[in-house]
Amino acid sequence: MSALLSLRGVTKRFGGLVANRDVTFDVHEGEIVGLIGPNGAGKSTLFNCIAGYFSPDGGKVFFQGRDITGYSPEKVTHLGIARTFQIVKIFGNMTVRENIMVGAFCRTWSVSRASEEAEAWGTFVGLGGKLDYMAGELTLAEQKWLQLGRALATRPRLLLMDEVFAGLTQAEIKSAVNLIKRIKEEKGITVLIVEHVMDVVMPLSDRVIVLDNGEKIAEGKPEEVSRDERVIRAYLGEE
Amino acid sequence: MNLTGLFLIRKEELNLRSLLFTLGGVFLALAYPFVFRKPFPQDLLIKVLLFAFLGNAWNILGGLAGQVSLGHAMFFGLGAYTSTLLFLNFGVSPWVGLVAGAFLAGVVSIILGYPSFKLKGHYFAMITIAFGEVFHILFRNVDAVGGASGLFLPILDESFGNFYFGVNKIPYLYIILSFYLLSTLTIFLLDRSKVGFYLRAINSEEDAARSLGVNSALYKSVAMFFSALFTAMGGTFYAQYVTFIDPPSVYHLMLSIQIVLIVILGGVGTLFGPLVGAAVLIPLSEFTRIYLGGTGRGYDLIIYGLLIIVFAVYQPTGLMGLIRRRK
Repeated sequence: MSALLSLRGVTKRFGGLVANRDVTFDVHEGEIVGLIGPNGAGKSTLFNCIAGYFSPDGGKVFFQGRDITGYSPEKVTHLGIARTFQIVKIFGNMTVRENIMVGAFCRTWSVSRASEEAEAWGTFVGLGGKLDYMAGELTLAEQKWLQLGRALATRPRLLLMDEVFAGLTQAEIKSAVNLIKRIKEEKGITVLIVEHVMDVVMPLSDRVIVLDNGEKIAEGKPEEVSRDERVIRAYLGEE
Repeated sequence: MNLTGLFLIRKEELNLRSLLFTLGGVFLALAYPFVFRKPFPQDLLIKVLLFAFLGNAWNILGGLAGQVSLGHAMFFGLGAYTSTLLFLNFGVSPWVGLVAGAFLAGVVSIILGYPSFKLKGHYFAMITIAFGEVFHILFRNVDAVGGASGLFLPILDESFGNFYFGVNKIPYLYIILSFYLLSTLTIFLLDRSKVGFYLRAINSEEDAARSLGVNSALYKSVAMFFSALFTAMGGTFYAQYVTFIDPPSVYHLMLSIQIVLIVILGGVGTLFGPLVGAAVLIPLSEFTRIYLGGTGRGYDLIIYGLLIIVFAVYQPTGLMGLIRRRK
C-alpha cells in the first residue's frame, strides 16, 4: 500500500536548536494517526513543515507520491491537505457561512455554489443553526468546529488538526471525538492529529507516532505504544 | 459558466428602496450644476467626487485587503504625468493617456507590491511612504518631465475628445461622477465575488486564509492593481481639470494622507464611506482656505487631525458606522 503522506528524514533547525531531527513516517489513506509527545517535543514544528508554513532544513515530504517539500501553504491546500490551528484563527468579522465559503472557494468561483457547500459543511460540524452568526460571537468550541468545517470545505484528502482538544470541556471533547470519527467514516478523509493529551488521542487513533526532543521515539498501535518504555519515560520522566 | 453565480447579491441590496436611493443621488448630482451656477460650488462638488473616487480606489487595497498604503499619490502622479506627457510630446489624446496612465500605474503597483507585501502592518505603510517620496523626488529632479516647474496643458478646442472644456465645469463634473459610479460598482461586485471574500479573509487572518488555499500575495497584488488603476485615472482627470501639474500638487505625501483620512473618517471598507468622508473634509479644507486665506494653509490639517483623534476614540468605524448604528 502506497502512503498518502510520507516524511523522510525531516529535520528543522531554529538557530542552534534542532526542533525536528530526521523524522520519518507514513500516513496511509483512511487512517486516523495521532502525533503525540510532551510539550516542546517538536510536534507543531513538524506539523508546520507538512502544512507549508516552515520549510524543512533537511529531508523530504511527499503527498500522494509527489514531493511537496517547501511548498507554500496555499499550494499544499490546493493539493488536498487542510489544517486547523491550535490557537483558533477564524475570520471574526465574517459570518459562519462566509468563513466556510472562503474554504469552499478553493474549488470553485461560484458564490452560490460556495454558499451551498458552506451550508452542508456548517451542518456537518454542528453549526447549521448558526450560519448567519458573526464568527467572533461563537464560543471557543464552536470556533473550533468552524475551523474544522472551513478546512473540510477545501475538500482535502488529508486533514491536519493541531491540538483540537485543548481548552474544551469533557462534553465538548466527546463531540469532537465523534466528529473526527465521522470525518473518517462518512467523508473518507485521512486525519493526522497533533495532541499532547494522550488519553483522548489514544482510543481515537488507528496508529500513533510519538515524538520526544524532536525525534520519533515510537510508532505503532496505541496499545503497543502506551506500553513502550521510551514513551513512558518521555511522558513520566526518568525514575 | 453561470455569470450571475459569481456574485453574491443579497435581495435587500437590490430592493426598490436602495434603487431609488441610488438613482436619487445620481439625479441630485446631475441637477446640482443647474441649481448652483457659480464656479465655486461646482468646483467644490467636483473635488468632493474626485476625492470620493480616490477614497474608493484606496479602499480596495486598504479597506478590503487591509493593506494600509500611505503612498497612493505615486499612482495619482503617474496618471497625471503619463497622460500629460503623452499629449505634450506626441499629441496623444488624453483619453488614451488615461488608459495608458492607469495601466502603467497598475504595472508599477505590481512591481512595487511584490517586495512590499512581504512586510506587514506598519512596515507596509512605511515602505509605501518611501516609494511615494521616491516618485516625488524623481519627478522634481528630471527636467525631461518638467522638473520642479511642472507642466502646463495648452488651451485646446473645448470638446469631449480633447478632455478639455475651458471654464465650463459641468462636463468635468459629469465625467468625475461617472468615474465615481464606475469605481463604486466595481467595489460592489468585487466585494461580492470570490476575490472579495479572499481579500476580507486576508485582512482578517492572513495565515488562516492561506491555509484555506488563498494565495495571499496574488490577491493582494490584484487589489493593489485595481487600486492603483483607479487612482491613476483620478490623476489624469486632475491634470485635465486643473491643466497644470507639478510634483507638489500630484506626488505630495499630504495627498496620500488626505485620501486615507477621508476614508477613515467616512468608514474604512464601506461602500459609501469615502463619499461621506469627502463630503465632510473637502468643504472643510476649501472653506478654511478661503476664510483663513494664504496664512490658513495647514489649519484644515489641524482640524483633520482633531477629527481623526475624536473618531479613533469614539467612532472607529467612521461616519458610516454612525449611520448604520442608527438603523
